Amino acid sequence: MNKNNVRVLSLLFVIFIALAATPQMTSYPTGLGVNGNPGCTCHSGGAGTTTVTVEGMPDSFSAGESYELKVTVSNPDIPGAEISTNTGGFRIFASAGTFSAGENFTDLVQELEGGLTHTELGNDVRAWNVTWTAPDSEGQIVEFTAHGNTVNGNAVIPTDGKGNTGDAWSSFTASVPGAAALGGGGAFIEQAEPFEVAIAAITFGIALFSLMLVYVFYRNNPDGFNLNGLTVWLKKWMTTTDHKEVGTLYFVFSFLFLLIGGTFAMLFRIQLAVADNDFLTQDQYNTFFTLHGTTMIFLAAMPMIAAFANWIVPLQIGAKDLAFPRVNAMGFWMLAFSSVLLYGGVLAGEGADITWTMYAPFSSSNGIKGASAGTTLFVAGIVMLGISSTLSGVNFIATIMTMRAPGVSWMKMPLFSWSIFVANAMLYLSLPALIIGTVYLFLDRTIGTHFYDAAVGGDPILWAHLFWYFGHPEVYVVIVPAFGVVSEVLATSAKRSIFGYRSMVYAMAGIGVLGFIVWGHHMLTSGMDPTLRLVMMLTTMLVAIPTGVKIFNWLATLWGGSLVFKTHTLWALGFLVTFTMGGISGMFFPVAGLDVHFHDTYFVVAHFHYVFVGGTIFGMFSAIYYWYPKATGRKLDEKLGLLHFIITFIAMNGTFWPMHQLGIEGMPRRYHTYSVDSWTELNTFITISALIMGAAQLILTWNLIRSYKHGEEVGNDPWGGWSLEWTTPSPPPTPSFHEIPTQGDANVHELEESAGGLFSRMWKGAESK
Amino acid sequence: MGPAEYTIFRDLMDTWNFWSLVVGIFTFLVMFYLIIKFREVSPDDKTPENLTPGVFPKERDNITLELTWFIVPTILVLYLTFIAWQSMISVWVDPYSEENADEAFDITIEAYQWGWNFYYHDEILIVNETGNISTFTTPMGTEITDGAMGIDGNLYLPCNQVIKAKIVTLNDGGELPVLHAPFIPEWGIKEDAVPGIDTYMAFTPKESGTYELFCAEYCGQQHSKMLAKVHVVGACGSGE
Repeated sequence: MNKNNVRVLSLLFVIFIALAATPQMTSYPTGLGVNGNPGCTCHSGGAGTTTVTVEGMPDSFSAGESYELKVTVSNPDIPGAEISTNTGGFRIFASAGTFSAGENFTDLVQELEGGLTHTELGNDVRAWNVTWTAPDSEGQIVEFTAHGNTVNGNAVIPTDGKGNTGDAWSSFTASVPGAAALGGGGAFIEQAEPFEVAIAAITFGIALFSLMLVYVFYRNNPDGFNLNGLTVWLKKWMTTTDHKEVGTLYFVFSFLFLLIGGTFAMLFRIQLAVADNDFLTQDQYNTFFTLHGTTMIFLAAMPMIAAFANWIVPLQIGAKDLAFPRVNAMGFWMLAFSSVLLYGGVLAGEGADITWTMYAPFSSSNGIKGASAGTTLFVAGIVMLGISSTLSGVNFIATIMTMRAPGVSWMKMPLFSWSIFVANAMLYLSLPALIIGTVYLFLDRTIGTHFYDAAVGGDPILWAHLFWYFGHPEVYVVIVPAFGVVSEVLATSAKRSIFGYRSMVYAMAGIGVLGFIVWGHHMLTSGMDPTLRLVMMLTTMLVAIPTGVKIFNWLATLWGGSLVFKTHTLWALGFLVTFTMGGISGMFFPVAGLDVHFHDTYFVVAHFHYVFVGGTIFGMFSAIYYWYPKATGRKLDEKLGLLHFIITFIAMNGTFWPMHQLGIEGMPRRYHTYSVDSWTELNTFITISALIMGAAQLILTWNLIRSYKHGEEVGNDPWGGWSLEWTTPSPPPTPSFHEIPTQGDANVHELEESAGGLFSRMWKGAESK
Repeated sequence: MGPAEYTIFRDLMDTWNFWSLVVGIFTFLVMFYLIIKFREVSPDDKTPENLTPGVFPKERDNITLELTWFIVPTILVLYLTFIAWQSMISVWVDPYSEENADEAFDITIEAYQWGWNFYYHDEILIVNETGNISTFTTPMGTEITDGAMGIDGNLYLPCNQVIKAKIVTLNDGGELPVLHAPFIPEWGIKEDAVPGIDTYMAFTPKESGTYELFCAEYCGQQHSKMLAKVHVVGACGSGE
């Protein structure tokens, strides 16, 4: 890529950011763009000299209590008393609680969209009494907004058509915390604001992370420990294009976000521990589970996979680097900056609350009842993620198709590289749907298009189709690499070759193809055509077949082997148990009579955590223990690893198994509170298990840090694996191979295939070029 | 809690639990047998492949075995698909057939941010404790507001009658009407409320009582507060 292209791309990037930061404008079906709230702010003149005051605001509110407020609009330049009628107007609303007219003011004040405004009669005065009744939960902060305008009675309509010349408007805002949100109020236990806990945790994490960076720098080179040396060192990491170093960046990034995503999960599990809890406010809960889902999939699981793909795939196929090293680095930095966009809203207290599925039309709505303001940034972040994944997807496809060393033909390629190829092909083919969908969403939110607004011909179900056309391949994108890892680990641990290599490849490719025609099973209750539901039901059922083939092939791999129980083996065996359970529970969803009950209940949550945590995360943990020696030259501590495995495995089942029962009993997901007391017991158990599982990850964190300097040193091939990465030193040099290696073959070939055309050369790999 | 014994959900759940157990137990037994039987006894154990770095190991496969675990799951999946297909007809096709059209008790469920309006288009037959039968006529297309029945924003349904609910959305002050989904665990049924189109769901209460109605599709801040009760008030047990 030449400098010009870089310039053009950075310019586009800047424009993109600028777009994300443009002022919010909502648009009405009439096509009129209106800033803020119609009625008061339509009187032009900006804030002018008008002031809005609300008297009687409490310092904090008690649940259910009523407060008398007085809204006054004044303007010294426009004397209201001298104009007989239509001197001013107001509008007041709050994020919680209800409004009603104050005593003797029922004729002057009326309800509007959850708040109050004046009546026609009420136009004649400049002060109104209103009553605000506090919500039932004291554990929140209520935001008040009052708009007011003063009217001079001048009938000259200005050119912009807003009110009359000389009118002016202004706003008043206030935040009133509930007694419990203040702490120590009434019957509530004093508690830290969980929102602050989350922000503090993120800040603390970043500070710790920076300290760690400095420490690592110091340990690398104690003599050159000065600021200049540090900037040089940081610059090296920020500009690196080496596949191993970018892989390390991906790994550190994903691990950080794994911990942050886990922290969110623990916070909202505490909220769900007992019925009618108020540990989190509804907004915080909604934001936290949105970020938990998005973080875990896009910022933890996928970068973790990208980390191993970066590190291992070129080594396994005998390539010096990836096909496009700079594109690779760009993909990573796009990801890093998109995480800033995703989290931007949280730090401002307005985190996105649209769930990781971002269902329109809720996600495209603004306003009091719509999605929070941070959603726009969030959606921009998702678009950037999509770009990042496209870049890395095309890179891996190109690398694996063209850069295999002699001997590494398609059917002699290690299964992990195969899995990365299948996953990235799926990703590359499904991402356009997501990017188109999110760009539509972004336009709906910013410049007032109506792609998802049914009132003017948009289609709310369009979003679900676009999202799940991407979303279902996406869940295979994160599970297929785990298949690859488990194939490698089980074969190496049993000291045998994988059973049925070819059927493994076909099964993986089969899952890859089937993955594109099953998305509708997420939408069986969405009002989709019943015929389409039937088709999706059939195809979904079929996915079980290649998955079953893989599981039985793994079992057969153990046959006649000599299985060692290293930590990575334990994770792979744990994967077999939990993934099989998750796979079986997946068979419940394509059944109409079951899905109409299970859809959006905790049964779904149980299922996908069994395949995400028990599948992807267990597979990635196995990969960490398996390839850590290759990356650092030292083993992770096996005793700590065993402890980590046992605690995580038990706590994981303790967390997600009871959710099946909750789902059968009908507990809906994404619920901030529940009032059914019989659900409390299981939920408390789940919360305790989740906290234990979260704490267990600190063992891994400690192990990763400690073993970097103190682990047992290893040679080229500590575990007895066969693929090409085990022929290089640990850690491998840069470039990874000085000479392109040749992969041997222990099989006797009866027929030598003759060198043919392009297709045959592609099929057989670089050897015949 | 959970769906009632007489729902199609329970039948299917029994079948699926049975086959899940069969598949799960079989897989795990085989797995634990293999793990124990073929564990490493001494570090010098040799296996036929003798894995060497940089050499693609000797392939092993067995076409009979692989075909077995391709064909057996396929048969099981096809069998389960056949049952699933039947359930689809009874959930999404039969209740809307012509012969059921007259007998059905029609309601309209209107979802808004964040609550429900219930509209009735038929009358409910009520049997009180002393055996007296009274008829409560619900004016077509309007909300029941009769305090005598304790109408309080909750849903009242007759017993032993197919309920056919039309589901619509209402824009109540938000910028846009958004997705919701009425979900009644007692009958294991839900369907999204989608702005711009009418959706339907059907079910048959067979026991009187009070049940929960949730919103199952995330709809914003007060999603978890979008609740209602469902009271089954008609004659039960004696059939129609």
